[in-house]
Amino acid sequence: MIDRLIALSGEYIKKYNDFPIATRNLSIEEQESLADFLEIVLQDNRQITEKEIKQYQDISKDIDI
Amino acid sequence: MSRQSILDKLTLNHETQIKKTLEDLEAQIISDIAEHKKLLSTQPFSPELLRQKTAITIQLRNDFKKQFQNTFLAESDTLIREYDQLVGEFMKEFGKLDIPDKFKNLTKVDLDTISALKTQTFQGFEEVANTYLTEINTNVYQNVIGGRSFDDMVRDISGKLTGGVDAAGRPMSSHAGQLAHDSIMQFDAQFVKAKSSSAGLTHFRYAGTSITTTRDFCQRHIGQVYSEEEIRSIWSGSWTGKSSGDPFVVRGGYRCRHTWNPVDPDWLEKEEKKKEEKPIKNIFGDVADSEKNLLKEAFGNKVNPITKVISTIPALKKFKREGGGFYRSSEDLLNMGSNHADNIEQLRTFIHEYGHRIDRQLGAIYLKDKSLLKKYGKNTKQKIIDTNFQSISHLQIQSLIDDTKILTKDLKKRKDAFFLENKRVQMDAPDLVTKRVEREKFFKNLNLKEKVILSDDEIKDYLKFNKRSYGQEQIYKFKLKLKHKIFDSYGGQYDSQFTTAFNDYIGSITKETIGAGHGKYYYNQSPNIIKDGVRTFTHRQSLEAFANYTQMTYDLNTVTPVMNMNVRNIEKKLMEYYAKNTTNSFNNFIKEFDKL
Repeated sequence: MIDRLIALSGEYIKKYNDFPIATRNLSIEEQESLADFLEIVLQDNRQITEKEIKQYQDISKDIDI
Repeated sequence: MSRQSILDKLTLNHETQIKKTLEDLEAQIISDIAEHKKLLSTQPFSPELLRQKTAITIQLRNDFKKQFQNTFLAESDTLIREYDQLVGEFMKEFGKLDIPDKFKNLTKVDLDTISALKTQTFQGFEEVANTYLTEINTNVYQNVIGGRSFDDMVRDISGKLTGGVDAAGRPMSSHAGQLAHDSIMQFDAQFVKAKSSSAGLTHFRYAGTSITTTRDFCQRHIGQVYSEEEIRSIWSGSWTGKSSGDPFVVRGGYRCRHTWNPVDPDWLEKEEKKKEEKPIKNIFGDVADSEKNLLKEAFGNKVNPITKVISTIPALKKFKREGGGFYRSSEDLLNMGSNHADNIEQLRTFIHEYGHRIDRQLGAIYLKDKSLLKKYGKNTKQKIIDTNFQSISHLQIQSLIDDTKILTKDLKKRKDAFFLENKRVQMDAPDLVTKRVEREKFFKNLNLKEKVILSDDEIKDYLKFNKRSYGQEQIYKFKLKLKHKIFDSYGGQYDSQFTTAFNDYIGSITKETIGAGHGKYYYNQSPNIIKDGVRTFTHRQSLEAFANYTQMTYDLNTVTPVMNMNVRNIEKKLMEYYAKNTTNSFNNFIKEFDKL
């Protein structure tokens, strides 16, 4: 996993006690895109919304990531 | 009869024989005392009577010494002579190894070694005999002079030999029984080590079986091959029942039944190649074209527990290679993702997702055929079986609960202890910029003292594998984490000194109180299985735990393009150390797969 995503998701967890998007088994492109998105969220000083979570991952109950 | 069978036979027979001899010895000693019963029981006390009684105790001392020599020591001598059977069998087995012929026979030096080892063993029996003889003599003298009754005296002696306790809390029969057992094992161990070293063999396999009383430590190492250096490093740690001494001699500790067998890493490589050269057709059973080659790349082309279980499930229905990896059970769709950076990483994702598939597919079979419960959920409570059942890992949710309790108990205290210890060391360490060499030496010295479940070399390999710095300082920090059984991160954050799979494994078990990978949110978007106190354990937790276990157990370490190292072994140890209940439960799954 790319270090930038590890660092940014870590920062998010420190603030909000959880990072609601699974970071395992993402493609490199997805990791980079998620890291860019996280930078914005952290700058905005806000939590990720349910709608945004769904944009990054399918959370249907029959999906195992 | 193999050397192992001879060891089993001799340890059992000798222990029984030595206990029987002590019963005979006890009867003879009591009979010696009984000859003087009348005088010893005479009261009241007078100077003449004291003189006569003292004379009798002196005579009894000589009688007892003879009895010890004629029974216990004579029998010990006979038993030690039987050790030759072990030498004979070991030489037969040793002769079949791929070593120069000159090492295949007993030399004069070997015969001297055998003789010295036997003498040393006999001295051990003599020491025990002398200790108990002195105690019995003292006891008899004190009882005679003190005027205790004959019956009391007999009870005391009987207690010392076969019933009571010694200073270490055991009667002589128990003490000598253990000595008989350990003497055989240690004689064998010392001879095997001496002969192997003379033939230039420096690697050994820890061999033997596992029974209910097998120490966790032994359990972890059975079947593993280590260099002598690794053995000395691993064995310098501590565990319950350890006895001090050379690891080749004492092995797991008192009454340990395991042995070290010499191997040459080249033999193992040849064996491995031989197996790979003979691929077995259709080892995966009916498979889809899309998964055929990937299964071989991921799990190899020889039969193993995972190929056996895959051969029992239907061919994959849908396959994709895009974006992030996942498995969708409703469509039997496996997406191994598209990780353009590294093909090996992509295969790891495939193994992870295939872990989910096996788990879900067996779960579906179970819903039709409840007999699978005997294999994968022997002790599972009915309430757990009846709650949102979807996969076989579900049946082992109690193991996750048990591990979570262990991992989260006093977690803050353990983390504080880690930070404090690390801080203290950082303050004492030579300056990073101006005294770099001294600093490395400083941490090297600390590493020599700090012993954990992994050797320094293993930690170095693991850090390299994780693309982290692997100097003495980083090795020490990693050791401190193992010592306190923590990750150096907040819950949900990765600790980059460990692999993402291991972070995720512990994260799935504790729902990311420790570890990271999927996030609490992901786990909570899943049916609950059980509530334990304030914690809710969900279906996705057991699913991810099993997928990560599968990924690490079948890690592709031997084909990693970056380096070729045995990360699989290292992570096996880490899994068993941090989460022994969950790991043991899944180890049992693998054993069941192997029976298929």
